[in-house]
Amino acid sequence: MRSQPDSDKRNPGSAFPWRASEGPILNSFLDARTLPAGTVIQTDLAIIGGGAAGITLALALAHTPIRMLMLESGGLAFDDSTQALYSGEEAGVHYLKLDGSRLRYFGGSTNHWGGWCRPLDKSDFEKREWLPYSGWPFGREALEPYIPRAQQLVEAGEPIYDDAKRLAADAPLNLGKGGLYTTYFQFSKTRGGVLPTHFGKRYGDDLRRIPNLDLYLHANVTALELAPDAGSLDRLEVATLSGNHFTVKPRYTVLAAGGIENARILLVSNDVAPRGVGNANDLVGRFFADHCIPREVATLVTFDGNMPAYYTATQSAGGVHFRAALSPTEDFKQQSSVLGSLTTVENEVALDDLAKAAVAAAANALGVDAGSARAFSLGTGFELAPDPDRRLTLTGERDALGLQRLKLDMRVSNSDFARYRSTLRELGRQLLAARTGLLRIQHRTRDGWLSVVDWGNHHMGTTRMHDDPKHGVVNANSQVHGVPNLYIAGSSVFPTYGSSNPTMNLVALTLRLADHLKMVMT
Amino acid sequence: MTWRAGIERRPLLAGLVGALGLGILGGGAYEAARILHRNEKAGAYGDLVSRLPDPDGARLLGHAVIAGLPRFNAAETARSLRKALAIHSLADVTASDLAAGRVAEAGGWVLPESLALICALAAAAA
Repeated sequence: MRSQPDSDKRNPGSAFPWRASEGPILNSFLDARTLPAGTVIQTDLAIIGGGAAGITLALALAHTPIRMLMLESGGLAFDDSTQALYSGEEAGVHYLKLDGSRLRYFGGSTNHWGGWCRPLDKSDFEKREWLPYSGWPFGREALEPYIPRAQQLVEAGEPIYDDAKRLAADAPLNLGKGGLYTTYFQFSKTRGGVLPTHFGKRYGDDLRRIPNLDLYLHANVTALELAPDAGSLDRLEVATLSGNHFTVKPRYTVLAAGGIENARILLVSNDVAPRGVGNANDLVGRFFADHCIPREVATLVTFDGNMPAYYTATQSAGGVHFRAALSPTEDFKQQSSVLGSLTTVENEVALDDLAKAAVAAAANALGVDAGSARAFSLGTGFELAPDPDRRLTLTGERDALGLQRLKLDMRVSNSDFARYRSTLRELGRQLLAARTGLLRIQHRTRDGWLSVVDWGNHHMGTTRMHDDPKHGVVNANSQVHGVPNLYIAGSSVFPTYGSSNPTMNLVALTLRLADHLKMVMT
Repeated sequence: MTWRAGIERRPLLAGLVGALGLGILGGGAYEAARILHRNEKAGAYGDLVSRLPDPDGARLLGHAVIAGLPRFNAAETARSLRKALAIHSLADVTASDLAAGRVAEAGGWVLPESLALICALAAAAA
C-alpha cells in the first residue's frame, strides 16, 4: 500500500490509499470492443456502471484482495449512439426526457451535476406514521461516519454545513421562532477552480493506479443471468454497440448504473425470474422519485432591505463554498406532517401595487419602518411522498442492443404541493412575527404549480431499501433480496428521499457498502 | 430713531400668538375632517379601517382577501374585531395572531389574520 499524501494525514481515519498521486499508472482502461467474442472473464466483483457510485466503490476497495472489474457503457466522452440507449417514453406530468436527464459515459451524470451537497436530515430516515412507505432500515447515524470521506470525494471541503454561519460576514435573516431555519449547502469544487467534481475526469488516473481493478469502456450489461434455481447471480451478459458479446462470471456484483438504469437492468433480466431479478414482489421500478423544483414559488420582502449575500449566491470562506437555504425544522416536519424542502433566495424583484399595499399595511400594523424594503423571488427543491404508481415499466420498444426501453409514469400529488405550500405559509408567519418581512406564495392551484415545475435530475427510489422483501428490493446492506451475491449502489435504493441533493449521500452510502463487501468477500 | 424702534413689542407678540393659535385650530380641524372623511369613505367599518395608513391599499388587499374567503361575513367580522381592538392595540392583536398561527392570505401575501380581515372590511364597505 502506498503512503498517504500529506493532505490525508491531516484527517486521520479518512485516508484513502488511492489519493496517492505519485504512484505509477498501472492499468489503462480497456476497450470492450476489442475483446475476442465469446470471452468469459472471471472476477471477484463486477461493478456495473462508472458513475459516482461505481467509481466510489472501486476507489474504496482499491488495494484489497478483491479483484474488481468495472463495466462502463460509455467511453471517455459523450457519444450520441451510446446516449441514445437511454431514450424512453415519458407520461403523466411533464418530466425531462429519459435520455436528457442523465449522461451515459465514464463519470456518468457527475459530468453535468450541479455540485450541491447537504447530508440527509435525521427525519428522512425515520418511519412516519402519517407518511406511507416511509423510513429506512437504519438511522442517519449509520451513514454519518461516511460523510467526511464522501465529502472528500465530492471535494466539497470540510463538512461544516450549518456551522457555515460562523464563516458568514453578516448575520442570517432573523426568522425568530418557528418552523423554518436557515441551513447551508456546500458545493463540490475541483482543482483549478472548475465546478464541480466530474468523477471520471477527477478520478480516472486514480483508478488506473489501482492494481486490483480492470475497467472496460463501451461495455453494456444486457442481462443479469441468475443460476437456474434463481438463488444467486451466475453471470453477466455484456455487449458493445459494435456487436461484440462476452460474459463476466463474478463472485459478487454491484449494480451501479443510476437511479433509472438500475431498475431497467433488473427488469430486462427476466430469463429465469419472469418478472425480472429482485422483482418477485413487483417493486422494481416503482416509487420513482425526483426533487420537484418549481421556479419562482414565492416573493420574500425584507422590511429593512437586508439580504445577506450568501442567501442569493455561493460564498467562499474557510475552504468551503456555501449558500444558505430555508428548511423546515425536524419538529415542524413532524408536527405539521410536511416533507423536506430547501427554499433558496434567487433574484431581487419589483413590487406591484398589491405588494406595496401589503408591505405598507403589514409594516404599519407591526410598527416597523418599511422605507427600505426590498423583494426577492424564491426557488425551491422539495421532496415527494413515496408513490408506488410513480414508476418505470418496460415498453415494447427496444434499443440498439435489443433491450426493452423504459416508460416513466410521472406523478405529483396535490398533497405534495399542499405540504410545501404549508411550509411557505409558516415561513410567511415567521417573517411577520420576527418583524423581518413578509412573504407572498405565488401558486394556489395545481395548474399553477405545474406551470412552473422543473425537476432536479435526482433519480431515486426504484430499487428501494427495506428489511422486508415485500416492501423493498434490497436489504439494509443494499443486497438484493433473495440474491445474496447481487448488490445495488446509488440513490435508487433510497426508500424516502429527503430534500438534500443525493450525490454526496449516495457516495456515503456506497462507502458503507464497500465496508460491508470487504467484510463478506475477504 | 430707527425703523425697528417704531414697532410696538406687545401688539406684535399678541399677533404672533393669535396666528399660532389659529394655525393649531385650523390644523386640528383639518386633521379631524380628514379622519372623518376617511371613516366616512370606509363606510360602516370606518372605525376599524381608519387604523390602516392607506385605505386604497387596504381595499385592494381586502378584495384579494375576500376572494379567498367565500364565507366572509362582514358584520360578524367587524363585531369580533371591535371587541378585540377595544382593549388591545392593532399591534398587540396582530402579534397575538402571529403567535397563535392565525394568518390569512391576500393574493398570496401572508398577513396577520386581523389585519387581513380589516382590509376585507375596507373592501366590503367600498
